[in-house]
Amino acid sequence: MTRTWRGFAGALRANLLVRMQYRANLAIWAFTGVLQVVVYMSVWRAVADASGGSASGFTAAEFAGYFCAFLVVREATYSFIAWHMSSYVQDGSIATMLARPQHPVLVLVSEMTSYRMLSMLLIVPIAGVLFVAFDATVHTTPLAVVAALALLPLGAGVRMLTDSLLGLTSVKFIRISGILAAYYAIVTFFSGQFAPLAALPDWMQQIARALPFWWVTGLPAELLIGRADPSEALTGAAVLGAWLVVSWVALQVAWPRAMRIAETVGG
Amino acid sequence: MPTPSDIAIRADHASRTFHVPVREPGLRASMRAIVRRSTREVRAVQDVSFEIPRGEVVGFLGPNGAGKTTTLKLLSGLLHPTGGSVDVLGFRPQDRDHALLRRIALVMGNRQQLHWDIPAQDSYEMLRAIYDVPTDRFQATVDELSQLLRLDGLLDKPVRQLSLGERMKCELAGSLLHRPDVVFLDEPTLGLDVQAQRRVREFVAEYAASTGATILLTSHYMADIEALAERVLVIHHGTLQFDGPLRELAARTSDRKRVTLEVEGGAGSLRARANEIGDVVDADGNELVVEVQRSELRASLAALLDLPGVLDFTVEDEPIEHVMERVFERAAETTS
Repeated sequence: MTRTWRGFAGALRANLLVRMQYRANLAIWAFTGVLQVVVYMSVWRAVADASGGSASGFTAAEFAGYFCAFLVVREATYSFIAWHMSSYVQDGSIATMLARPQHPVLVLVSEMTSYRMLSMLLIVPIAGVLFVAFDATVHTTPLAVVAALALLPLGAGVRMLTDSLLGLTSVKFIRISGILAAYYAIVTFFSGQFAPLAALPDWMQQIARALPFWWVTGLPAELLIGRADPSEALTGAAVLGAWLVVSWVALQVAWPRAMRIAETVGG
Repeated sequence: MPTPSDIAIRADHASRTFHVPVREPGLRASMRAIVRRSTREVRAVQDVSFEIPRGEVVGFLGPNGAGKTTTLKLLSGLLHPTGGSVDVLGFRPQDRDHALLRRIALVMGNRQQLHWDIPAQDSYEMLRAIYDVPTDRFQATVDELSQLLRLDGLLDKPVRQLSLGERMKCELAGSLLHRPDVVFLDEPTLGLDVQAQRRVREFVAEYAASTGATILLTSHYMADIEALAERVLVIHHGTLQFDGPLRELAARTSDRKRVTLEVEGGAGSLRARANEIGDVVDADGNELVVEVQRSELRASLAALLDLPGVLDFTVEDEPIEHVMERVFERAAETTS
């Protein structure tokens, strides 16, 4: 194991211990996320029922299946790195991170990963319960499930890197909550969280395919319910790989520049 | 004369300028600032040069906003210099080379690096992994630091349950687990009670003596500086005002001596007569403290000893706090 990984494992362990101190807090966060998805699910089921049994090619049961799958995929790829980085810049604790021989982004990734490891223990059973409760249906294959699972690490990587880039703007602007609100609105509309891609107008579908977010969550969710062909996972992997490279290079370029202008807020 | 390899810390005409937004208070000014933003240049550190040989403990003094913390941030790589250069152990700190970061420590009294919610021991494990400290050496260091700082019973409590003094001791130990060659201490005794301040001071002295580490220390408590550093750097308005032995600073700046008399029958009754000889600083109970001109010490002392009821006396230099106040006042006058 390299020094970097040993350091990451140490930070991950500490963050897991911290999160386990606040189990109720973690559960509330997770349930809040569930609630959003349940609302979208209920709306689209009602739309399908009101449209004579299906809307945009989805029956009410298929909508339920899609949103249950989406819930799991979103949790596996979710990132709050931008929020955390901006808060660390604002309160000056980024200085402590910068003084250590560990890249601050790795610290944030370890925080994110520790949250995900615990929240998935809640979200997967909840998705199962919702699946049964909303009488969901899927028509998937083992190959499609494997393809979806293979895309998750790539998607999580893209989200964490784009979040890191966005969080880095706080070095210049300090408070970036407005920027982040706009970013999360874009993610909501174009990731498949608001609706499956097929339910969006053509122009929105084109934008969604041009951005990384649908490939991160929408495509794996559609693979899990059998709406997307496993061969599309190859395109998805190529797109996510390209976004991963682009955002990695952008971070490599932006990070030293940001550090040059950084004023490490607070005494 | 130290050779280049003996130098642990070097600042060569180092400067750091910030551009801070300027806005008058009030709603109207706030609205104006939306369309027209103006900034002001703040030269936090200007043309500062010094060298610190390996193993030396140096005090870094200056009033609030003088440029102490900015200089420490330049030296520890948190800030890039906008002019000149800095060098620590042969590295440019702003490159944040991990090989350098594994050999230095920055301890800021107002910042914490231990996780608030878990015991310090768990944060230490994390730091061991980050600094890649071998397990056997790590345990030996924890044991040693624990003994020096008297951390028994503290390491397995969540940090949020510790008092400020206990937390600071745990923070110090955490910062030194990787046995850094260079330590930047920024107000390590900030907010601690007298006993905790003394303990931390003793610990820093013991750490420096046993490891040969180079230490640059800022503190508002002159007792910290007097106890730990023979050499001081004085900075004010971002420029270095003095670099040399603390004693020399006192001798150069202070032309006064402090005479403490033990008297019988109460010091209050002698206040008026003592004020004719020097400046009475304190007349409480049976103790009378008078400051006199150094050049007139012999005559003043004779006159004071002639006062009725004097039983004993001591003569000391003026307290270093007063000396420093005068240094900063003079620097302010020069600048204005």
